[in-house]
Amino acid sequence: MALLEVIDLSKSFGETVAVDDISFDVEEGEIFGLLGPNGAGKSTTVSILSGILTPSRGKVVLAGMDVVHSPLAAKAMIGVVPQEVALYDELSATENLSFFGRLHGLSGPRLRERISSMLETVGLGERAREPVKRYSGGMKRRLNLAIGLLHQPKILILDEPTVGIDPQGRVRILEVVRREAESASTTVLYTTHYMDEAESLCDRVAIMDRGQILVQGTVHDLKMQAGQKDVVKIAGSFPDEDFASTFSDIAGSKVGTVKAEEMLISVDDAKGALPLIIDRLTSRGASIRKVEVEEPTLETLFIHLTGKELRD
Amino acid sequence: MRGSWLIIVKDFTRRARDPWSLLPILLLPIVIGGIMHLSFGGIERGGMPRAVLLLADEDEGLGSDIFRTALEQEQLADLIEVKEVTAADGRAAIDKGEASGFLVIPAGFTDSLVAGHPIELRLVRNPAQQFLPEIIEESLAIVVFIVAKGALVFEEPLQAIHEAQTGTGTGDFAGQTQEISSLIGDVLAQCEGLLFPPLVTLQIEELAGDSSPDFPISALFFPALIPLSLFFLADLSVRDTIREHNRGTLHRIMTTPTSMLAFLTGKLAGTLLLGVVMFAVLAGLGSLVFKIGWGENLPELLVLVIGYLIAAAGIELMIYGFLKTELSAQTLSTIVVMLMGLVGGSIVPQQFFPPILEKVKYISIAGWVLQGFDKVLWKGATFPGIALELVVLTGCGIVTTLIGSRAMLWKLRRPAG
Repeated sequence: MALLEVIDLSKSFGETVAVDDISFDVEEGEIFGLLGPNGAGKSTTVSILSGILTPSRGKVVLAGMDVVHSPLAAKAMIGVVPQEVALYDELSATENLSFFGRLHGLSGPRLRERISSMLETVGLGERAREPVKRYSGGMKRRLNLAIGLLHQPKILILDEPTVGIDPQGRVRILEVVRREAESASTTVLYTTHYMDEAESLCDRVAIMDRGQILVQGTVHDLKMQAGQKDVVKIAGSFPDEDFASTFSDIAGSKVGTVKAEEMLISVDDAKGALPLIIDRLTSRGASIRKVEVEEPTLETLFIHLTGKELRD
Repeated sequence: MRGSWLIIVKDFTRRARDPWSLLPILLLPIVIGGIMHLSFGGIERGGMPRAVLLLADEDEGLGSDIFRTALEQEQLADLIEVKEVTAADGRAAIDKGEASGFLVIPAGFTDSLVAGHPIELRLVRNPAQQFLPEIIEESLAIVVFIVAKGALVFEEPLQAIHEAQTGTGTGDFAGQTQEISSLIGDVLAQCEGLLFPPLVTLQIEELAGDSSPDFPISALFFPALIPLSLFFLADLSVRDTIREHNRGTLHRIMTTPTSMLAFLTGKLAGTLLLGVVMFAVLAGLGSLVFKIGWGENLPELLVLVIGYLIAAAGIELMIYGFLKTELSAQTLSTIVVMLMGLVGGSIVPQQFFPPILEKVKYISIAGWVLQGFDKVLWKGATFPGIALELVVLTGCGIVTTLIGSRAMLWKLRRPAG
């Protein structure tokens, strides 16, 4: 059952169309990724879903409620972790959590228990009373995440929560998100331009560019949908001849660029075909120095779809 | 309502954690008031003009001679220049503001003094001057005390001299002088006579019209600077609203069940509360540092301050709501605050305004609040007396807040940057 439904959503700022007629839904308990480069419209979409912006057209339905018509009720079910570190530097972690928790209606022992639990979850318990301005970037990011989770929302919306932090901090945040989704059955909408994050974390993904959703589905489905293949990259020296017919009996094979010292061959299953490829090349006098196999990724899919890299 | 209250508490906590942001605003009146106090507040004889006292002597006897001689003593002569006039000329001159004070020694003064009858002297002060009439009044009080006590102590010798001068005595002036000398000696031994109630009292008449304050010059500058501080506080608070928008905390608040209106209400209410607290602190510091008495009409002052804060916040909302960037808004805001302060009398007190500025000050909310301050502090006005100022400030506050809030809400609902 879809907890969140986004139907024909558009948002314009003057002449600029930030979100252009997008539709998707997020099932209860799943982690849904919104993947796209900077400026794709992810943050605008998140702002509309969070009730910060009103759409120019279309609607957002959360647990059967129209977010535009019942914003306060909808917001009570949403936890948002914004892209920027939105904290009060003068206040401590406890005071920040307390303020946002109270805005979400928490109070008394319940608030104290949730603050303590979240500080523990993000590993800030020992420095909870220090002003946030003394925290490192990673610690601020973790507190940013804790605030979004504090009131145990039905759906957690994370807008690029790992931007600008070290790999260790990134892993920690992803762990918390995964754990929260599994243990508390929280539905997660995760936006990122890191395709590895989306691949490792998300059950389903929608790829956005220029305000539109290009494709959506499971990572596996998307790769298949785009007809992506494994790529075998061979470095060495090759005799000057046409290799197109050499591998014609290997399933899905296609010889790409052949330079003096590099050959690219796309095949359906690189692991199965690799011994045969090497054998045929050496038998024709090729000298092989190095062999690499590249499996298709969301990034290659994005390049395939848009002709540009994800980080553009 | 709960959301607004939480915003207020949060902002107060932030200010408490980082008081340095408020310190310059708080120190502004203290520092400038202090400089003014040091520059003009201390009365140094060498640097002060002499007070001109018009003296109409209708007695022309021994008593008025003693009085005039006392005033012309070296120390008092440094401070007061005595000019003898007739009663009519003196009155005309003081009405034209040509002297600091006008004293009439009535006919029969000496007779009453010698006879030990109570006498009343009348001093008229020039209300257009601030300190010189004060000097005359204080000096005369001393002279009156000395003459009154002296008359009691030297009652008998004075009587003898008076009789000799008026020819009502025995005619043996030399013998009388000897007698007087010996009597003076006797009386000096009986100085306890000084404890008797005074025979001569001084009655002060203040001419009708705008009176000048009785306290030091810092008492003029310090209260006048308070609106400037409060305007800067309004600027700081509204700028903080924009910063919350730019830094993302506002958008985070908007993801909670809190409306934008509740947020803005919390910000404005917090500004008013903080302004009132700041006024209380400044009033306390003013009393402590500059010995300023705030009078008994503190509720009137507080209501004036609240009306002024609403107007100041409204103007700041308009500036920050309509201008595109924080920097341009901050620049304009500083100019507006300084101009309003200058025109309104925060920097140069209204008491020193030339006639042209007396009219221009009404374009400034600082001008209105300071006019209200003037009425309450120095003329003892109550709420009916400052009704006009309250209506203007509150009206201006409502209009600017409505327009400014609309612009600000529109701005805050758009993505930052």
